[in-house]
Amino acid sequence: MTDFIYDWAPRILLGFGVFVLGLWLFIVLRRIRLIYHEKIFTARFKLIEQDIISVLYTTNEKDIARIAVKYRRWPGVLTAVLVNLIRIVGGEEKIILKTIFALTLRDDLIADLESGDYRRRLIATRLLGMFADPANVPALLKRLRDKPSIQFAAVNSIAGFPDERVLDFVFRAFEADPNPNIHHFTDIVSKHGMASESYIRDMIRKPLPPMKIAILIEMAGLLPARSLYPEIIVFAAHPDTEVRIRVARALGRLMIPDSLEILSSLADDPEWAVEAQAVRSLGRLNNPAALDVLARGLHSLSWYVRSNAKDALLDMGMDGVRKLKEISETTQDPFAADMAEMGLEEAEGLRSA
Amino acid sequence: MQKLLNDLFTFLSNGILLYFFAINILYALFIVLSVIGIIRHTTLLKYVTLKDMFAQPLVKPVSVIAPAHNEEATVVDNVRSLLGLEYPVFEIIIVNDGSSDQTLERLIQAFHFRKTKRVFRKVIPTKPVRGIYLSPHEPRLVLVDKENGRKADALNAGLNVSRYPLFCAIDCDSIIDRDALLKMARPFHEDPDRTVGVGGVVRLSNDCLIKNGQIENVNMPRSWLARIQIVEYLRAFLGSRLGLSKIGSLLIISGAFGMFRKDVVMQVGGYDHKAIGEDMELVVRLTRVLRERKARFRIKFVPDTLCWTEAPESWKILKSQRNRWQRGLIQVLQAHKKILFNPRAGVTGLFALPFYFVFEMLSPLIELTGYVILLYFVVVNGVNTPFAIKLFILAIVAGMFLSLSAILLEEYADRKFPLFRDVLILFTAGLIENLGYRQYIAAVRVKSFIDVIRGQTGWGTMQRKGFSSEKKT
Repeated sequence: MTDFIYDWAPRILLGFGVFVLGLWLFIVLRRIRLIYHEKIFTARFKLIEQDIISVLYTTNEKDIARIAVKYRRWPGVLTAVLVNLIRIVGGEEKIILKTIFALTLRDDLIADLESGDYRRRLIATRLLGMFADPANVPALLKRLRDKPSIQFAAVNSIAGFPDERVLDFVFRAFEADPNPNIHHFTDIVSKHGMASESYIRDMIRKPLPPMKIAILIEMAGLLPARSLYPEIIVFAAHPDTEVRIRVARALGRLMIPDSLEILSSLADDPEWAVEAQAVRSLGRLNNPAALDVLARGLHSLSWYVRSNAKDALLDMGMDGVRKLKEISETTQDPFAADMAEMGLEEAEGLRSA
Repeated sequence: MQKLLNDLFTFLSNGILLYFFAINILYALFIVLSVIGIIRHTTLLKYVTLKDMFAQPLVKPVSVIAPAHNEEATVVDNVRSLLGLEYPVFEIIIVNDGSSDQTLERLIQAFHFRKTKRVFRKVIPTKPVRGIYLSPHEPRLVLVDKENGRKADALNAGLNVSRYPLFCAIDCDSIIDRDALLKMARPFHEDPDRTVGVGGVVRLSNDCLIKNGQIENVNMPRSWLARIQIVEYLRAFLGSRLGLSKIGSLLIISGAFGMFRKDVVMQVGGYDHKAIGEDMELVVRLTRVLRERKARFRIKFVPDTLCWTEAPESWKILKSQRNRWQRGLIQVLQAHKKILFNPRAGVTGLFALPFYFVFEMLSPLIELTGYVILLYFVVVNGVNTPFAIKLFILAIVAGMFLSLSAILLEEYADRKFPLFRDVLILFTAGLIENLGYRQYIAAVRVKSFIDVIRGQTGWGTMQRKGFSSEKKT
């Protein structure tokens, strides 16, 4: 071993020495290169930006095409300019930017969506979301099965299209997906707002697994789509706990007075998670008829139910505060008394703040 | 007898040579992985603004938990700085861990805290909580006053009181970048089901210009001791931890700044209040339990600078800090020895933990053994001088290669030191680190073994200069 090292030490030493020197030189040269590139980039950026701004307020298609042809050779700088501008302009100007994008970068990026290179797929997903049209959504939907960061980018891109056609693609993908991600689909749907209502209605009527029903109910609550109330209450007695939790939560968001009875029965659910959610939603209804149910919640064995009952009573204003005071003074249950006192303190804090 | 000793020491020195090559090859490999990681990360943030997170309808709120013990001089400024963090929904829980100075009083006075009867679930046992305070002026602030039980206990108390699904454990005396929560929370939003913990790069704030609780200008410290530690930190965070995370072997998320999923941490029982290195212990336990459950999970490392902390500028404090780190490492490895080299623990048992055992825990012992052998051969006149000199130079060059690579990684990741002069200083620090500093740290770490055998569990002292609203030191 020693002999081996003795023989090889000078060579290893020399190799390392050259490498270290090389690294040092690399850092220096890289910095010089970066400074040089930054200068060129800034100059080109200004040039392209000026030219694009000059055509933003014209409808002359020839001018737009001329710019596209002129700057196609600098895709990196052109992308930076377009991304920068699309964040600050709106309306017609946005359409012009999208046209320049379509003439220069779009086709390459659509091809990049299927690239084996993760970075290309990610950038393509992002840029297509910013500039492309709803026709590209099916390709973007495929990226919901990609790596997490690309999935995240795809969700943001799809959610950003202000077009109802997108929802058609999205709900078809939802139905076909054996394991849809609740975060992805609720993000997309909630950004499209009430336009999603009819799609949710059509979908919720289909025979779907409980997991998908739960996601649809969550979406309805997030919008909030009040017209879906009849469809939602059908699931209040569903055997799946997750579905009942989502029903209780959605009813709290829809705030339909008629849901008092259903929520009261969910507040007696054998599962504490359903009970806790139902109690919280009852508070949002702000109906004095729920006071006794909420008072009962303060005596629950579950901390979460007690805590949510306290919050619900606070949501009910003075009626709720009076109930909390009554419980804190009369109850023999120390847990309920503690929670009631905490609620009273919070009420006082809210008033003084 | 001498022949026997000669043979033994020759055998040992061959072993040390092999060890030397193995450790350098592994670190070089991590650096290659880190380069890939940094390039990927740069792409990840291209054409995206972190504030997009604010537009997410289901954004996960974060509880920031900051334990404070005897920090009357800096605590108010630090909390003010935390209130400036950018994130859609978050709360800040300051845990006064039985301070014997005016920490509690200063906080109450500055933020008009009022004692409340707040009820919380004591899921993790902690030392008694004396009171929970809320601020009517700043609803995001919660102050927990409890009996002293060390950092892990304070973090557990904060966890019990916290309300949100993600929590971020920080050192109260660290400076957190304004967008740090957004950067840290991103992996939890990208992969919400699998991500259980995220760590980031911690860097040194010595002599930096600090304004309104934020790093305004990154300066090179005047103290060479701090400069050497900058190189060490770059090597540790960018060169090693990022590389380890790429192969699913990250076992340390710095206690100065780390974000976790609360439900998972609660399930494993929170922080171990007896652990000296509670940050590493938690990650190892999380990894162990989740592997036992065959759960799919990931612990991510974000190669962005998110948090700044002050490095010791005195040998005494440095000694105390490194002694504590080494004791913490020994304690964690001892506590989890069952999964060491255990194939059932997957990559953690077969690579990550053995790596920390062989190349982190034992390294000072092996280094010191090398010096003893050298001394022996010098005494018996048996040293092969040209060989020893070459080997010594080789060790320095290898060390410099790693340091320089870490500086190169910094160039790719952040480029916080724009001046060529600063790079030259770091390069020099990487060189002089080998001439005394390394040997001193090795000796301090060897002493930790003796302290562990003696049963020492204290934290030692760590004095910081702190940062006020505006300072250039």
